[in-house]
Amino acid sequence: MNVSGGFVTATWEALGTSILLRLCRSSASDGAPELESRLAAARLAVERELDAIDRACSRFRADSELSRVNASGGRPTAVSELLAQALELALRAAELTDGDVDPTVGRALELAGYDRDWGLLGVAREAQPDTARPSLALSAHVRSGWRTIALDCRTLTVRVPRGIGLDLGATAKAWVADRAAAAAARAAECGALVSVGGDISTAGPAPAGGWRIRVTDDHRSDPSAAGQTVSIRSGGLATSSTSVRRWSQRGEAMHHIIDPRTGQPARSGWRTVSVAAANCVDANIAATAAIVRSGRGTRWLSDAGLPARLVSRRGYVTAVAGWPQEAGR
Amino acid sequence: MRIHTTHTRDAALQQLHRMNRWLLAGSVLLTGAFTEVAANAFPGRTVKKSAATSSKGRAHRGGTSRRSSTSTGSAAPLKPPAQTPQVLETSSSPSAAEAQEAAPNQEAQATQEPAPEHEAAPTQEAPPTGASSPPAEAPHESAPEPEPEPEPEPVVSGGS
Repeated sequence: MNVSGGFVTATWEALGTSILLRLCRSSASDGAPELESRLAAARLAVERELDAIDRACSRFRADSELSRVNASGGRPTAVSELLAQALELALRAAELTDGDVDPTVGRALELAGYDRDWGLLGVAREAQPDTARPSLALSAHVRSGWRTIALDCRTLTVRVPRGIGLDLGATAKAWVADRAAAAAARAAECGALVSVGGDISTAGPAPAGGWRIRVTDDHRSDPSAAGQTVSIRSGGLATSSTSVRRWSQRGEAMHHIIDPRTGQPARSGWRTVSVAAANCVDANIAATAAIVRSGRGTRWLSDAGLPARLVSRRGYVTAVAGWPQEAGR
Repeated sequence: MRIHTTHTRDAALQQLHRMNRWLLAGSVLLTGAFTEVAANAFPGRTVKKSAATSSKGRAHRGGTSRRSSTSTGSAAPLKPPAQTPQVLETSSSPSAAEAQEAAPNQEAQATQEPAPEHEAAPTQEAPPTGASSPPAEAPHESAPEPEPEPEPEPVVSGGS
């Protein structure tokens, strides 16, 4: 825990990534003990949300609901309200992006080698030879995958065709950031910011100068890493990047952002895309879609009115839809 | 005469046999084709409640509606932020060679920023205050104001 300048911060690991919770002082009378007490309550609320999402949406937990759905062999499966909502969000993302952000890339990720929690992947891949690469058949299957998902939020059932694997990485992590920030703000009765692996959501009253955020390639970087520091007063900010979660398969560099049209890691002109939106899940959908869309991403973001910062593979920066220009330009 | 009748009957039966085979193959092909057409025309669907749900553990009661997951424009659009981010600081410094790289396509040109080598231009630094020029007013003799608490480091948003 870290108390500084009217803020209190806690960091820990969950969902295979780093979690940051920051609260800002709600009144001048709040001292360090009050902030610490608020932080304890907020952290508990955040941990509950993280745990619930992990149990529902993890592709890597054998006992998760999502694993059960993926193993259902095409039969209708009863799901919790939480997973139904997560699936609904994932299908919404696919619809809004015309399939560029598709939850049915689970099999493609597995075949690309991303078949277990990231923390375990490096160790496992050292011990195992490279496995099969995504085949043409898989690509064709993945291509129209999201349209084959039948979700009934009324009866809380979902049917996923045999051979299709769901991965909610593009939406669930950001969604839990939104849920966790709201829960933290309620529990602590003050402004809260939650970062789930660099996907950031805020709730409650913002600090006087806004929430300071450093956008860069890797969320584990030091705040002095190359990038830009901005402030937001509400909503969410998410960054997608092809420069993290990379591994090698048969000598070919792989990353975790799959282009559903090819079933393989997206070959994007953008290395990193950061987007600000009314909530983190919308920001993350847009950031991931912009990576997949490559050059078409700027126009799409601009048309949607989503402020974004796009960094090309060599570091050239483009700002759209009101994202602040780099200082000194 | 009898032989002729037998041959005619055998030939007719053979023809019927061939026709049956073709019919069978044709029906299999047609079934496949219709299946493909139907799959594209009536794909998976999402049945969702009309009101957005968020409260955990709340029971689903009424207010339901159906929508096709293939329909376009029925999903709520991505929402822009209430306020655009405000810049505080920049420190990216790609090399001059990198600065020459074009954006992934031409449509980005309209929004491109100047070459990255200008980012760290020293002229952008705020001039030092109070170092080379005296303050306008003499400092008060009273006790110095308490130093403001340092703000925590910014939260890092990056790929994960």
